[in-house]
Amino acid sequence: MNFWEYNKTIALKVSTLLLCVLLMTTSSCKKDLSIYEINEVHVSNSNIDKNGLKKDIEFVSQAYSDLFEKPISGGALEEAIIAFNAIGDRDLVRDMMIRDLLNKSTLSLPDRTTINADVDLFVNKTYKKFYKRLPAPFELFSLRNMIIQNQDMQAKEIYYAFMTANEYNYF
Amino acid sequence: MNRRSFLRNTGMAAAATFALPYILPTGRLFAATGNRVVNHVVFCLLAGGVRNLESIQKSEGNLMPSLFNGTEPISNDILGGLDALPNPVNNQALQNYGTLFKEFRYGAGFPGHFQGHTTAITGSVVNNDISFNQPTQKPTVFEFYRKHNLSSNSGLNAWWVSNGIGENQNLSYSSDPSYGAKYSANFFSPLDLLVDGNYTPLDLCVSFNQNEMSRVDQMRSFLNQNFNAGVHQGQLNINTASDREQMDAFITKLIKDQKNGINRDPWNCGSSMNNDMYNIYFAERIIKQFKPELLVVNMTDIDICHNNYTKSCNNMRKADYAVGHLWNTIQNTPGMANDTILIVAPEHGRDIQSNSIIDSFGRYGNDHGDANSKNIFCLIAGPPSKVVQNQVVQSVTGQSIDIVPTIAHILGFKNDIPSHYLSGTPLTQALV
Repeated sequence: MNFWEYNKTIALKVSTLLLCVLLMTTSSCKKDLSIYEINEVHVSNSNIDKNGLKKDIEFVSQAYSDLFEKPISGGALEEAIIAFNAIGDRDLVRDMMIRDLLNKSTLSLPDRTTINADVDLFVNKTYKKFYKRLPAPFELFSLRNMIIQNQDMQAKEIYYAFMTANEYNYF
Repeated sequence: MNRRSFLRNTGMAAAATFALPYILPTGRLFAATGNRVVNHVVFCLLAGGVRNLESIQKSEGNLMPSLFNGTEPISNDILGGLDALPNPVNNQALQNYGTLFKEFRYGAGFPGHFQGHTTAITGSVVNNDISFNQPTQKPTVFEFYRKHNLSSNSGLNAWWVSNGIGENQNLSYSSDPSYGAKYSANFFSPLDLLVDGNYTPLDLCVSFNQNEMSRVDQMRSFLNQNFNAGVHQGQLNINTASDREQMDAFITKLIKDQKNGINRDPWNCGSSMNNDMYNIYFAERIIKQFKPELLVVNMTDIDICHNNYTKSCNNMRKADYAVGHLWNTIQNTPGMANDTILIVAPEHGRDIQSNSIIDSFGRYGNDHGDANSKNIFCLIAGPPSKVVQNQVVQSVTGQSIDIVPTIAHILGFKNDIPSHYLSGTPLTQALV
């Protein structure tokens, strides 16, 4: 091995080592933060197989993506985690977070005219949006009646009811 | 009904009233059996590792004039490292309002911060086998209180106000099958939530009016009827629905005040206000709002002693000022004034030998772990009719594991706690 080849080998080894160190240091600086992105979701006709309780981080990620149809940002998720950790009553935090999301100016909600134009479509969409399933016929029937009978009821209230009902806590 | 049968029936009814156990509205069968000394206890963990040398022995002068009598001047060489603070808010030092145990002990176990917190809050000796990521194995004072207390086991009566998240939240409740999350304290770390920006996920909450909520409830009720996989009763079930409403309003108000700058420098201390002082300030907000029967609050800024001794002395002064302020708030809160016992104790002390880290005033830091780290003090202050005033216990008396039994004794449920849970004894020497 001549001088240049020797130097080349040394340089290669040193740069590999530096690259490893760089990778190790940069990766170790980052917090492990799971971001739950939007995936294709199988729409079921039943809620019978839902038995996995959502963790707080999953709950807020899912709530955000259900409402805004895009994944929550890393920063927003980090703030949400702090809020969950800072207040012991996590059920209260979940409720407050939903009401906060429902009040965001960037959230687009169907108005009453849109809902009234096709109530069945709205109910079907709402079940799919939050529960990833279609309503059973009696659910469609009952929700349709509730919405028609309560003409003052806005999408914000309906979404809040869906997101604070038991089923929304489960996968 | 003739007179004889009337008397017999009345007598039987009266006997049954006394003989049958009470079924409380909370669903518990038995009420607390002991008499209460007072109706409120505030336990201030003056944590971060406080040596008796600098506190009660005043080696640097009286750094804690709100707690201890004395006008000993502070050492000249560290004066430049001390921030300006207002005069103590009370006319007298707190030791005059109660009993000071000058030779209190941490007891067995390693004197680490979390171990010290755990021992103080569970009344059990813990060692290095504790988990930092899971609820403590031994029941906490909050669980004892909420399970065995007569007047109310509402979560709004039991608070754990911590100046940081992390392992401290695991001291709200234990994994003990006889107790657990349903008897948890309301954990609150205000300094984490109320830092600008961190409250963003909660600061725009829409509030629904009564009609809207009625419609929501009707729809939610229907949705819940049709979900058979399980009933989500709340992960922890700390608060009832009505208590949660109050919590909601309280948190919302704190966030609003934070946004409006009301929480900034509430004691007119300017830049001297540190995290410990803020944590006590928010504990005072809870006291004013809920008048809790049991509140535990901690401070930890003194722990900077590892690498900055002078700053640690500075933080001791601030912690002292904050405790004085806390006492003053209690005495000015109707419902808690003259009906509250305040217990103040460090979680552990610090080493007798310095380490090798020197600060800008030429002082060496102190770690914790040696035998001296187990020497601490405990101050119990309260109404003159309930707490022995101006008493100083000079001999070695009491240890950290006695604090939980003392709280249980004061609030009247000590005898209801199964005896195997607590090995300490109430510090009745401090009580009238």
